[in-house]
Amino acid sequence: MAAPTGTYQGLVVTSPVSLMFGRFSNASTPLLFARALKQLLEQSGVKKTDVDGLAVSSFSLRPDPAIALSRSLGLSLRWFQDVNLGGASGGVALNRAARAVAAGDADIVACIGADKNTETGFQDLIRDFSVASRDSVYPYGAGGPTSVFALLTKQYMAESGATRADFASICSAQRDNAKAVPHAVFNKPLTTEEYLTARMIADPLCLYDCVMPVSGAEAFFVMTEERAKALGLSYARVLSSIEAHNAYGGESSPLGGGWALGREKLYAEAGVGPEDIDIVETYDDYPVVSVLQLEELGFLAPGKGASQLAVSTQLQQKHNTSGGQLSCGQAGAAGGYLGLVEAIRQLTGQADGWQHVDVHHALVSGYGMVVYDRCLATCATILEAEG
Amino acid sequence: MKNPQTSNPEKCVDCHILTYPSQGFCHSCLSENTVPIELPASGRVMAITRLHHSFEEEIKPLLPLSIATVDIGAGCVVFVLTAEKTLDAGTAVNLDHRTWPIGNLLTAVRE
Repeated sequence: MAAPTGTYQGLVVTSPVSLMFGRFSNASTPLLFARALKQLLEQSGVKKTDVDGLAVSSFSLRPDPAIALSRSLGLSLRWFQDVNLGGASGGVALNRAARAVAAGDADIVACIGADKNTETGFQDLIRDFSVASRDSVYPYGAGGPTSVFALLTKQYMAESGATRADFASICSAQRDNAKAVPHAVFNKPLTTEEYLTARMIADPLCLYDCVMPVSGAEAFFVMTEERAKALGLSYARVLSSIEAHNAYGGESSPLGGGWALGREKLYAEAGVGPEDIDIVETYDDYPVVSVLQLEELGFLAPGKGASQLAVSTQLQQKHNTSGGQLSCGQAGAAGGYLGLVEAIRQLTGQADGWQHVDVHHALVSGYGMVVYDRCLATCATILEAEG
Repeated sequence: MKNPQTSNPEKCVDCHILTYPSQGFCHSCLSENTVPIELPASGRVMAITRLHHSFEEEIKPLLPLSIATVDIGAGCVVFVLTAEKTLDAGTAVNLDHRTWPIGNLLTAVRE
């Protein structure tokens, strides 16, 4: 493995924040951001006036533009980024914030994803999610993203031989990982029988394959290692980070995400390989999505991932260690931060009650934005514990 | 729900690449010199699902509905309704617009 090349040298993430506001919330989206920022400041000791960079991700700020948050939160900034990439939001926010700090454009960047969910909020969002979706997908049953991912899962199963029992095992394992996680909305065991007899939403996807929309916020800081040390903060080093957007746009198959295109760079820059990763957090709005990430990132064999993951207790235990969105719910774009915040928590020893031992390296990947038949944005990041 | 507007593909006069759904310019060479073309009359099934949940009240009485993705060539994929409950991947289907209770929608029929 090649030695680290140092793009992210001296850059760290710190202060993991997860706030759960239940399935529905009457609080405004700016208020959710305010609570997340307040929690970040309180648990880190960082002064609000020292936050000079802000990356935000949200679907429910409309009609406000994201920059309105700088005023709402009373932040005077040198650097700002609106990273509204759904399930890729957290990793992309980190990547760009880290590069901004490295370039001297900001010293301390707060990265926050927050979304409220109301009784009609999710429906309103997906109805007009994009022109292509509104005109050429939604009229065909109005099933939302579940329709698209049912078709994608069906295609994956036909090509790979994966079974519903494989996905039952994957969903059940994630639920087991959530049993001690206080912000999980589902933390009771899920049996194979419960999964296989559950209400069908869009075959082969049943109730337990689909994330539940919730209201919530996830946040963390990006700063230099020197600054984190001066503040007395536990932190994780950023070793490498990649993005891909519309990676396979010319192909009719929607199964490719693009992680494989940057995988060599990702591992080479980090100086580690898949075998060195102690925990891996994938974006899991549907279980097949996690399988696609784990395959392209080298944890599972291409086209065999679901059946391999279904029988690998070791990988199941270190995969989505908080139970993922299938257990914690999907707080809009904040769902794209969930795995990253969980990885920071594990790497800094702050997962009280569900802490894994000997966590030195974490890989976090993201996948987001179905504007037609597939997700367009993907990312992956490797982090290292301080010690 | 708004009236469905299934668009036709558009073909670039300059580079001959198809774009679907149409957007008024070529996604490949960015030329605005594109013309709408008829949807191909056939394609091959990529996947099919039986949808049991809908966000729209007017659609719920019609459930379950069969929805499929069909590869119409040149990297273009269309969403369709079909009366079939199952279709294997790769099955050849004919495509046309048919009137359903929820609108005039692209429909696949086994060839």
